Amino acid sequence: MANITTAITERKALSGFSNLFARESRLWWGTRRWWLQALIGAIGMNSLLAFFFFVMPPILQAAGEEIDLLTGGAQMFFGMGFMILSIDVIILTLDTILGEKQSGTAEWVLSKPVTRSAFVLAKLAAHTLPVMLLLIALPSAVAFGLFLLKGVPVPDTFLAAVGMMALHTFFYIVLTITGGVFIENRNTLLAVTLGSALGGVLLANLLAPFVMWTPWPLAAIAAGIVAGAEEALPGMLYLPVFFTAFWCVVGIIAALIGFNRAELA
Amino acid sequence: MQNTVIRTHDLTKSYGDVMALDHLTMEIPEHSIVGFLGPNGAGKSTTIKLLLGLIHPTEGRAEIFGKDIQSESLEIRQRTGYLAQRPRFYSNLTARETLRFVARFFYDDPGQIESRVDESLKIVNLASKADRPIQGFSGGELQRLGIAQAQINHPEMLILDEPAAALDPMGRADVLNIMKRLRQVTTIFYSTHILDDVQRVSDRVVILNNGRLVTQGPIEELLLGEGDAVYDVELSGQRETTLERIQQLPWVSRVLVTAVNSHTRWSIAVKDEAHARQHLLRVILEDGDVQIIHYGRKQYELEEVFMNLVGEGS
Repeated sequence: MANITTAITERKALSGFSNLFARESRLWWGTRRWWLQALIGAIGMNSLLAFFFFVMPPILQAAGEEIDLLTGGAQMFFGMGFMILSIDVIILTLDTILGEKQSGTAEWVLSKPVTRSAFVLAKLAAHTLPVMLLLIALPSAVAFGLFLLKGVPVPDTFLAAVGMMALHTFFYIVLTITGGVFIENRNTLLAVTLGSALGGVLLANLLAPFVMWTPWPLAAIAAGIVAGAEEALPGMLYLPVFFTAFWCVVGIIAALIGFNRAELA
Repeated sequence: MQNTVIRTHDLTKSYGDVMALDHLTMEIPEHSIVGFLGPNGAGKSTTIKLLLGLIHPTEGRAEIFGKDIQSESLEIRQRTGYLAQRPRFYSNLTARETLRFVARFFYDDPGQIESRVDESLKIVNLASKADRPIQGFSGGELQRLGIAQAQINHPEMLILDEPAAALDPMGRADVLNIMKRLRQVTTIFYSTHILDDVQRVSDRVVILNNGRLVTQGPIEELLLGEGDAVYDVELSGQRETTLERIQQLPWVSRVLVTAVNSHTRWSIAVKDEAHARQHLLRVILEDGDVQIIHYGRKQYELEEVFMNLVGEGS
């Protein structure tokens, strides 16, 4: 033992974090995933916006219709962006915990001097950082460029809306990773997470009194504040922001507690 | 006196009404190779997972290196190596990358990491395949990689769950040879179904059945069997008078006579082994016509002992 540099330079509670984070990050930066996701972000999320800015106006003008580029552009980018991102991160992180539990690699890794908290947090951090960079910052910068290119003045609230999109996306990363801790079946996890992402809008109508406690109104709020239509939005505009952040924290804590109690049989 | 590496006290694991491990109390001394035996579902893998903190006990406690398996699991895993029954690694990595990944949990210095990786590859004869993705590895190669990653930190204890299962005879021989080499520096606690292997390499055995401890102890003691000691004598020549004299000795409980080819075997059960050691052979040799072909304390085969013990418990 004397010649072993007990390797753990990070705090004991996060023993193994840096190695796991590096390994998980290589799944992004050491494979083609990073540029594929960058393409999805930069082109996929902005294709409708580009179409709306550069193809639609002559058609609508020929038809004698007026076009509000700021409102339409905000709806195109954020409406599409929230949806694409939530589905994309669910697919990207679906096997992060569940797959390792099912394949047996979690058992193998956790037989090493690794804490379970480090295992969960390394995965969360290693997936969140590239998502924020490649799927939030990059496409938002491209969208910003398209607005400028079209000569549409971008309000300061654009940045706040991007922040909401980042928070909404982070919520789905947390939801999928936390779900993977508690759910043992891949299809069930997919149904829960995709159900929330796709069915949330429908549920919002059913759960009207509580909808501001959920992340579901964030897409409409983000598009609305960029278009300068705050007055048309429901009151307590930032309540979903607060609650989405709150659910993210609750989700992370639940994942940590749940995984620490999990039986890797 | 040997230190105790593993000590369990009433260690219990149940899943609802199913008792997977029932109040296991055992002690494993350091620098021993311990075969952990039992039929399927006896509780071997459950015990191993409990010791490594992968599952949590329902009752009881256990210590490894004097550290509690629940509250000090991290320190235990720092000093332990583990090979799962069906080892699973990240299939996109090569053998070298897999070992490097594991080594980084134990070492900071990149030079030390690389040297441990190279040494480990050599120990298991995988150096020539080090840079191939492991998804193309055979079962035997994966098992060898499993042993390599388990010993990369120079562990004070290796826990191997069925290390030779599903291997062909060559693969099994490889694994046993590696274990023999590693025994000089570490305690090896391994579960297996292959009793022949246990008899060849182990110092001690622990036998479980239906989640309960059946027996534990040095293998040579176990192979002597229970009850009266038995001496086997194979001989030829004039024998009847000798046999009668032996049967009349007060410390001989019974003699079983069987024919073996052209000669005879006497299995002599004795009540007083010290007396037998001192006098039995002399008594036999008093008769000058008797020619002794073989004489010795009867050793049971582990399979025989195991079947008796586990059969009784079932």
